[in-house]
Amino acid sequence: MDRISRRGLIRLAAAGGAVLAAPGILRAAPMLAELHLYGPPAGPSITLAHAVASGALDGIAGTVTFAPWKDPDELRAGLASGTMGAVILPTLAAANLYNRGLGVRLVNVMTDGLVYVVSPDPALTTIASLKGKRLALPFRNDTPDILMQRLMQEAGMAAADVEVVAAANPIEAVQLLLTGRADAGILPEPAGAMAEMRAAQEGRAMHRTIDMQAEWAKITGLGPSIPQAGLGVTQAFIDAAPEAAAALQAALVATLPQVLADPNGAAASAADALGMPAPVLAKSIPHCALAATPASAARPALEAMFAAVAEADAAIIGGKLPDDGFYLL
Amino acid sequence: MAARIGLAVLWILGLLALAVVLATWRGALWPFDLRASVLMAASGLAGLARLWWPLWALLAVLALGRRALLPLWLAGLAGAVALHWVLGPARGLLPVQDLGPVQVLALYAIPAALAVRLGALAGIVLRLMQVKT
Repeated sequence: MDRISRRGLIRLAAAGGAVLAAPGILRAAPMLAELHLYGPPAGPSITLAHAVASGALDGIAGTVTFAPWKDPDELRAGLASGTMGAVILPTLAAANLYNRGLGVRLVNVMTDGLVYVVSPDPALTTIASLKGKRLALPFRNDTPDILMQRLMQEAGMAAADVEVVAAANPIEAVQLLLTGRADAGILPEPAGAMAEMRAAQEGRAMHRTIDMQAEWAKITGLGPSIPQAGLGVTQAFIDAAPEAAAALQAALVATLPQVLADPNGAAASAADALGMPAPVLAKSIPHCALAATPASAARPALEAMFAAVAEADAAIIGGKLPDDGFYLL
Repeated sequence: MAARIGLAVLWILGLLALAVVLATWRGALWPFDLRASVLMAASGLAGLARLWWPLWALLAVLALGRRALLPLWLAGLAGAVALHWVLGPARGLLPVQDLGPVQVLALYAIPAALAVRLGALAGIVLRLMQVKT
């Protein structure tokens, strides 16, 4: 057998090097070195956290993380300081921040509504039936409160017609319900699921008596949908990687069917990131109306909600409907 | 005496572990997450303790000087089910008919046993203190 010449050896080494390097050459470089995503400890974040855990966003950045924000104040501080560049937030807050010039633009809508009136009393099935009742309400002056005030106005009720029992967060509202210190609670998911599960452990009845989405449909006439929260990005995020928002949206569209088809799997992968128990997340997913609708496609529903809320207090959305620039995709 | 105290504590720990298992089964807490199961078990036990505390206190007192605890547990279980049947719906509990016999027994088996076992443990400790004084 002939011995390999020095030239042949060099050719062979070059060819081998090219083969070994091919995957790296063929693979596009990530758009960002790091991508830090944020969201509330609630339904829509399950999709985002599952996308992170399943590696669906790995092509966008070398390092991808998800962390929950705990309350709206932390969200506003994060956006104002520039710490949060891509974050799931209430769409009302996004419109307000955009109109106030903070540069937050909406990529998509990630839920068509996840707020329910939950009560041990199955008779509290209408907004009017809440008159004179004690109502546990987390996040005063934020989305659930604003929506409830508007629904009460529509039902011909004054704010004083219900006794609001303020709760620092949804879990505290669940506790108020279970200990009988409130007759009903306005609970976003997964707190609604948690209330049902904890009540069952005590042999108690707990009912989702009012679907706020269905009530809202009576005002907007657009079907049972409250485009309550979506992914927003700051101008700094867009400037850093102009294509990243579209790539994020594509990944979320691909992830959503996995979450809906396998709530247990999605809950298991999102539980640690959200700091919520997996069984609670799994049971809440069917009630979260999860979506990944591009902001421009959801614009009619969003504008109907913004207009309805603005009728009561335009300052909530920053004084006017957001213009075209708000709807990034 | 130390061995009896150790055994009583082991009983209580075993009952708490069983409470977690029962909470997982009753609540269909899947995918399994120990935090969720412990949270739900603690929530259920705390709620039932708050609701029927006079019964649990009575059971614990009756268990102070007893060695035969099984009849006391059965009586406590029957008492809890009777209370639930009569007063439960007015206090926001599901009617016994809606829960079904298995769920009702699963609901009260551990709280009644814990009350009896805690009473028995307190009895042992009290006797130990009397001996020492």
